[in-house]
Amino acid sequence: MNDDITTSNNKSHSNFLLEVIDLTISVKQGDQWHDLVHEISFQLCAGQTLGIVGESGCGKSLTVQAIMRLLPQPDMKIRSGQILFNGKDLLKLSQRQLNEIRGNKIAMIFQEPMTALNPVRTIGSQIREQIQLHQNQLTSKETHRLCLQLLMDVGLDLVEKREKNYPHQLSGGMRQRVMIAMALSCKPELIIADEPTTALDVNIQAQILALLQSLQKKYQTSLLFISHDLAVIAQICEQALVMYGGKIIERASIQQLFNQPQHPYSQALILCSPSRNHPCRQPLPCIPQAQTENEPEQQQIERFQGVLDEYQRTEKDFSLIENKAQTETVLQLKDIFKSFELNSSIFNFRKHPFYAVKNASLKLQKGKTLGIVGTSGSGKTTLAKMIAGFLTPDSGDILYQGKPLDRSNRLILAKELQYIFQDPQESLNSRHTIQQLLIEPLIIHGIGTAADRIDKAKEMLALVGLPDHVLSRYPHEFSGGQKQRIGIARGLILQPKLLICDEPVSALDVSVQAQILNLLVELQQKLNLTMIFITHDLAVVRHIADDIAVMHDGEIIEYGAAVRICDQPQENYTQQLIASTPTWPISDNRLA
Amino acid sequence: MSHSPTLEFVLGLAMHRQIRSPWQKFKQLKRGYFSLLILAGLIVLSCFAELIFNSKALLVSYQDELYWPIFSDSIEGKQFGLDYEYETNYRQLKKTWQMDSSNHNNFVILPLVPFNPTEVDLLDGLYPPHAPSIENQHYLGTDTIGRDVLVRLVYGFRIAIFFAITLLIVEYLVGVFIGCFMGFLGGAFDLFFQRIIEVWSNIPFLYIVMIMSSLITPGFWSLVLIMALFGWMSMTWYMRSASYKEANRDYVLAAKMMGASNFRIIYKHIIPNSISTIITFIPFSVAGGITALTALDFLSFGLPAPAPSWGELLKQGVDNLDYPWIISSVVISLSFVLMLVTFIGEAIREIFDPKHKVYYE
Repeated sequence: MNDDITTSNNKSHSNFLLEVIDLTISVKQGDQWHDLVHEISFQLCAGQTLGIVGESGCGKSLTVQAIMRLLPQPDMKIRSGQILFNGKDLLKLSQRQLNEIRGNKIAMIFQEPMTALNPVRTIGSQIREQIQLHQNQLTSKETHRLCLQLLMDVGLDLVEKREKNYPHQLSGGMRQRVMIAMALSCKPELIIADEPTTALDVNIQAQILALLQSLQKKYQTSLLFISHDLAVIAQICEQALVMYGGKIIERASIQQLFNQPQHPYSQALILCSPSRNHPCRQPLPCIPQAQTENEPEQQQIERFQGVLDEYQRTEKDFSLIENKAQTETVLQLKDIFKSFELNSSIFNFRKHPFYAVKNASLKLQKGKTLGIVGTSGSGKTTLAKMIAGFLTPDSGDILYQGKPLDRSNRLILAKELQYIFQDPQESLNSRHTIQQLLIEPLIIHGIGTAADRIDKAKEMLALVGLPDHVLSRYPHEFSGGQKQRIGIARGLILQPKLLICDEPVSALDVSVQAQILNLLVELQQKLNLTMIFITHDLAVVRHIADDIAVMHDGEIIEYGAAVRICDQPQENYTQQLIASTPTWPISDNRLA
Repeated sequence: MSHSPTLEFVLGLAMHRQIRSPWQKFKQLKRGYFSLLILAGLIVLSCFAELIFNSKALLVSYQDELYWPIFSDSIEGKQFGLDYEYETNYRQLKKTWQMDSSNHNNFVILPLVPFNPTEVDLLDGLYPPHAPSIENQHYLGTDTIGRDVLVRLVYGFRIAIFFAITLLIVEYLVGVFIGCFMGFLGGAFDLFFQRIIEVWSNIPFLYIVMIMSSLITPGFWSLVLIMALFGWMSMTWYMRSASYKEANRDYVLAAKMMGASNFRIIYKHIIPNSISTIITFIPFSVAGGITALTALDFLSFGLPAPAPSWGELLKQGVDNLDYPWIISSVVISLSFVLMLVTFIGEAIREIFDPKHKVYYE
């Protein structure tokens, strides 16, 4: 009977490979079901590439999980709607029919290849299993040949050896290549990629994106690509859907989306990622938190229009760009070395030193921001932790205001410099209220009476833009951006002179990132802070830093003014890094 | 970002559910909740056992003067016009006054069960043990030398439960702190204590107790001490691994960055964040403590002779199966209390169960 219905559908939409009609996904909260995705509809033709972009919680991942029927049970369900794949409604398939489509007709690439691969089996056997499941007519020899061919296609070298490797023996980029090979193994008609490059470094990301693009052309598959990063979507897709609050608010070609975004939310989203066209350290637009209720469309548009108008009105204060010239040196690093010892095997007791930081020298002037950029493993966090006193350098001097830092005394150190962590959830003790979190440094240092401390905490909250009444709440009640604000408030309560920010925005959404960057710039101006800003994101560091140090394999390979390095990089590695950062397809930025 | 956003969302919801305080969740688990109520009731009752189970009278009125024998020192028989100078036998006194028809003003109010745990009640012409009878107020009968079984059960329960709780506090205090410091400090301190614990836990505990009790007469505190000396190790392993994991998390680094001392970090940050594993063990440790004391008393290495104890009653019961009221009452009470504690333990474990019952199609 189902077939009758689907064939009738088939006639009218025969040209669509995938068609989602009025899909509504709900989640169970207590005894009630709440809609997370509201009646979305979209189509994808064979051979097309479609990107879905949106911030976390907008429902983009849920949508693709619903297509694969991979929603976590029993707390989530598809309340209504149809998902037609080649005219067949995926939601009505039995488990067996579903298994024939999953992996065979529709393949999925996940964000974290390490968790998606089985750690105790070789990658070759995992790919062969995938092939044998769906193409059981092949002999084992043919399967093996096909497996090697796939590994070659995804750009791995020495495939004969590689296929005998276990996942942990490969790098993140290579693992993602293996995932792509698995996805391609049955020549699927549709590949769904859920943030496949988010966990990777920029240079690896560029390689994977190029690979996906070429393979998509070679194998003639359709691609549904999910990302929170507009630039990545722009790089790989022809068309994009913008999702917000469980709804699709705009569908447009990439060129159109970037040059003439229709919806004010899309405009604000594009504007709030720091780009080359945006003047450094100028405030970025603030997109308010997503509304959980089903907000009327008109109201939503007006709300975002308001954000844009507000942004246009803010004066372009160009004094911010030329940061006040101050000559007092706050921090100086001289020839810092740091090594860790690696055991090559359990029975080999010879230690192999591994240099995380080699010969690093830096100088930081009062009131300025130093950006440290590098890919993962480049030693940037190790360097920051040495400055913060968590680690001791093997050799070299860290001079703070001309004197060596006494790292043994935490109490003295805490008043001079503070550290802002990447993950605000991790860095706030989840069992303490905001008040306990904020006044703890004051208790440790014995500053003020109990009433004074609470006043001080309120003052700091006001400084980071949070109301007083949050004092009695716990960290998990706040969003990522708010938690990061609390982290910053705690960092500043002892009035340090130097603030070390270790990837403070990389766990956050673009719009929240913009708010935190605005806040940091504002605080720096108000409090005359000196900052070290560690990040892997060149666009962010260009926006916020005066000077940049580019690190590669533990060495500072390029060091100089931010704009100079970003626009005219001298070193080969920096040039590569900048080239692999996804760029905007904007001809002229009409909004800026 | 190790999870997909959806998974984080689901975990977030699960955390939202946890906003209900653990106590509220506990209350919903009826079996554990009622067990806790009953056990708490029993403990409170046993604290006031002297008012309910006592050979001294609650109130004596003699020649228009009121006496409160339970709350005062021993009162001589002469005081009430009797012919002896030792402690008054109030049951006797009551009988005497009831028989005396000329007596109108004097009266005695006895507790519900008018016996002491150590008092031998010799009924006329009968050898103990006496079978349960309402008439002579031995509701569960007497043991082989004529002490009331019910009264000894109640006082024995009080000793056993407080012994278990004290032992637990001592063991956990030592175990949690040493374990935390091992995990947090690592290095030489950790290695040293690891070896100490490995050696220490291989010493046969029962022999040590036998030797100790032959050298000194064990009392409540010396028994707690001996048992804690051999029981603190089990907690250290859990706390060590928990604090080792917590020590490298950002919030601990953040506390260091604020200038907090190691002790403060452990006390304020690491213990509160890893205590949930420990809380789960508490009821089972209590059950363990009760059983351990009972076992020692059964083997007569426990508390010295006249002290009321379940182990000693159990021994009497096993030796005198012809008088089934002894063995049955102690076995039933022991099983009942252990069952209550285990139900509470199960409920607590259920609350802190981090399992997210999620499955995929």
